[in-house]
Amino acid sequence: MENNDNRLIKIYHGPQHPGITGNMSMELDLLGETIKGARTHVGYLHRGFEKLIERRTIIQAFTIVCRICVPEPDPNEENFARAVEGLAGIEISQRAKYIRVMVLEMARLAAQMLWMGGQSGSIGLGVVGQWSVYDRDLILDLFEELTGGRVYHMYIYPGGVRRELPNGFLEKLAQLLDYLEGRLLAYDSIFFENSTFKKRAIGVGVVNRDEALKNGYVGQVLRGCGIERDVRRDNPYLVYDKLDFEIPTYEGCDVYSRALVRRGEMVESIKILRQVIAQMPSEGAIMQKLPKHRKFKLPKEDIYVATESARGEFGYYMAGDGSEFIRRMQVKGPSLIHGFTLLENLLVDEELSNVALIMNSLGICPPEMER
Amino acid sequence: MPENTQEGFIDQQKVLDNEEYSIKNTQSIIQKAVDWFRARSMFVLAYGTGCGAIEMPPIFTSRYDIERLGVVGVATPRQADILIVSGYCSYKTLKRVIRSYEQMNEPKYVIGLGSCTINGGMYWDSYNTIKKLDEYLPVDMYINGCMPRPEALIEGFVKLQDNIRNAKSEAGYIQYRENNAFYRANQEKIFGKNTTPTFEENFAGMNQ
Amino acid sequence: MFLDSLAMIALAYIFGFLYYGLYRNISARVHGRFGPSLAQSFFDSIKLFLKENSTNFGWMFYAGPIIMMIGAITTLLFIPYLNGSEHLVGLSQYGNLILVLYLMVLEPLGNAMGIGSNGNPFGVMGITRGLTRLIGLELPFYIAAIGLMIANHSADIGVIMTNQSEGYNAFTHPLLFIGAFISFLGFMGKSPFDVVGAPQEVYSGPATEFSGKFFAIALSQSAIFSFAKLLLMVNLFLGGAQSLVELVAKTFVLFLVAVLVGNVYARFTTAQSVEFLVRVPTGIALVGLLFV
Repeated sequence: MENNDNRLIKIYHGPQHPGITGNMSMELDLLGETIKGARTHVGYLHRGFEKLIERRTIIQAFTIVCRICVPEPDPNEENFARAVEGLAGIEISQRAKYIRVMVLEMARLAAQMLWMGGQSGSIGLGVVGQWSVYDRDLILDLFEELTGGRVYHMYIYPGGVRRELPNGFLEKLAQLLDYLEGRLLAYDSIFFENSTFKKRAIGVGVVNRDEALKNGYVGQVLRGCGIERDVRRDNPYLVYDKLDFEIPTYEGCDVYSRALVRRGEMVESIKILRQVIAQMPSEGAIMQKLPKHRKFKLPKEDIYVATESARGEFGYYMAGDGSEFIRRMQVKGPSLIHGFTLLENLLVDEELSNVALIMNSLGICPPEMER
Repeated sequence: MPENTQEGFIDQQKVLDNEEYSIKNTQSIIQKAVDWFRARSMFVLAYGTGCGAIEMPPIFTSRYDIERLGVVGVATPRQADILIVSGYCSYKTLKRVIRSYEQMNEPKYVIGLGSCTINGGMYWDSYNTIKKLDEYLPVDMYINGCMPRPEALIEGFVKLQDNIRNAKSEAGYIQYRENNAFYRANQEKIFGKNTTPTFEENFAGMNQ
Repeated sequence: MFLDSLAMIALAYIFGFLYYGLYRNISARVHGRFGPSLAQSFFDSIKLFLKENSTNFGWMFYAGPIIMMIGAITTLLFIPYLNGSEHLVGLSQYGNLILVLYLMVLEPLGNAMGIGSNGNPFGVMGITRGLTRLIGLELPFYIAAIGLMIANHSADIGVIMTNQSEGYNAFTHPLLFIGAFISFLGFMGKSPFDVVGAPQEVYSGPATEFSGKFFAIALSQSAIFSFAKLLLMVNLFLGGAQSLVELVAKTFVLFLVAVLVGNVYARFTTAQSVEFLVRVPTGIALVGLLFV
């Protein structure tokens, strides 16, 4: 990868740059404005989560796992809770499962809204970001009512969820869904159908379809290549097997297909949430009886759980050793493979103007890449 | 004065509350006007060092609309007045933050966002993050919380504007200039020989 | 004449910043928020004048913004404000449209001079983008200007302006107007042609290293220059103005269209914008030229 051609100019795209998805940087070799080589640099956000968790009990570890991925913390909580439940052999109630699905889908919707702002901002279409971050805030308001936190919820706990639904919460959610469904039409006309966005996005950042599965890409990158992969369908968790939803796929393999896939997912999320509202059982304990804090011990086994986050499969590997501490927890997020293997190759022979565009469309989230 | 006793504390509080002993507002009229403009127009370099970056979009967009207060985001440190350090700093990031800060032109201010900049917060025992931002950069305004709400951020900005307008506290950049040895010593503890060059070294490099 | 010129510059400065404030306000309304006060841009520029300058790149760097400022002011002075008025004419009787078009290029050249000496790669990239885009912008605008000069048998802006008493050029030569207007959107630095200072790509482009007083000069320059461009468009295509009120009304309409268009379109890449400009507005203007 090292380029020693002295016609090239080397620049760092990031970490402090408006066009980058977070605190990471791309080292680019430019010939004029054409990229001849790209290297991803990370390490700006490393906090050592996997090490920190080794010396924390379950309730202590639970408060920091949601910090692993900032834009959508809930898949982390769900993964952590499900892994602990799997190891400790806890079965949660049907009602808690429905509430978890609701939280996960709301989080997915919020994350897609934020992505929309980033993707449009990367091509200078600021107005979409202004609108969509507002709409995301309305979802965050509901989260605040439900969990007490705007961004970090700390709500899905091993054994169920931590609080009962507030009065009238489902009605408020239904109203919000109607509103968001109407807003999607506005986003269609200004963003997804915008001629300038099409001109920028179609045929840019084309992923090789044959390599997609082999290299382990997930989420919208696969679905944008027409490959129907979704953890919710392939390996259903919670109550996803009882819900009716589709997996949107497009054939273009480019930035525009991935944008359309995300749009389709927003529609599906709204659909799932409506079903959850209709099917939510009114009875049932939201929390199972758990052992006392210091006696909550995990057996000497290991487990791998996966959740479909807004950017693809999000997996946790967890191993207990018979003590109240977790022996090992390994995070497998979608960003690592997308940020290194895929992005570095996609950027070669691309214009400098397309760096932010491609990076946003892959849904790279640096905090989750480095933990 | 016995400082550690209850009486001593009350005595100290009296001194602080007394107008006669408080920091004198010695702005001349011109300085007042200058400070008013500086408070009224703030260009922000929002360095997304950590989680805090997620609350940056809400305050800059239509729900909270901080542009009302004259706060605008800019892309380069050269034009910025305020550096927002949004959350925990890993060692690698801290170096870039210091570089960005030193590229900014005076007067410049630092806002530390979240508990992590105050005492390490969630990552108090992490091996790769700094615990107190104040040891490396002079922080003018802390906003605590994890995450701080956008309202808290806006209040932080308003308080900082008030501090600038009425010269209520000594600005951080003056401290950084006067106590540069202290800050550099702390930075060198982390970076060793890889610390950013001093002003003199920079100057020597330019003349070659 | 000296006082007259000074009044022109002062008016352009005030109107330029007011329009910039309006731009921020109108954009904010499109975004669904209140936006800053109208005078915010004044505050910004005054604060920038009060900032320290701790960087030093040699005199060439500092000469850049000043040359840009000179370019903006001279452009302004050769464009008369009002139709058939003795006041606010500046030097316009000594110059003509060709001179104005020539002076309008001074801005990117001054920019290039300043950027070249600071060595910032993003600045260099920004100015390269600016000069590349200029090719696309100049073509349709020049063709439209040639068309008007042929139709009026004169290159004098005052003559072109007074000849429009029966009907505005925007309606008698619609194709020329459309071609020139698309190019004008680019001159105003609005989407989809805002490739020069695209923050997601090249930080602030040419302004990356500008700070403090020199950034303030660059801001004032762009305020004055954008008012000069609005003035030129009004004079050439909308029949000039009899009074200041009419002038404000006409420039505001043009400005509003530019802002609204800029808000709903995404940014092209440099190659795409040049290709678009060379193909669409140039084609339209060429067809318009045939009709003349």
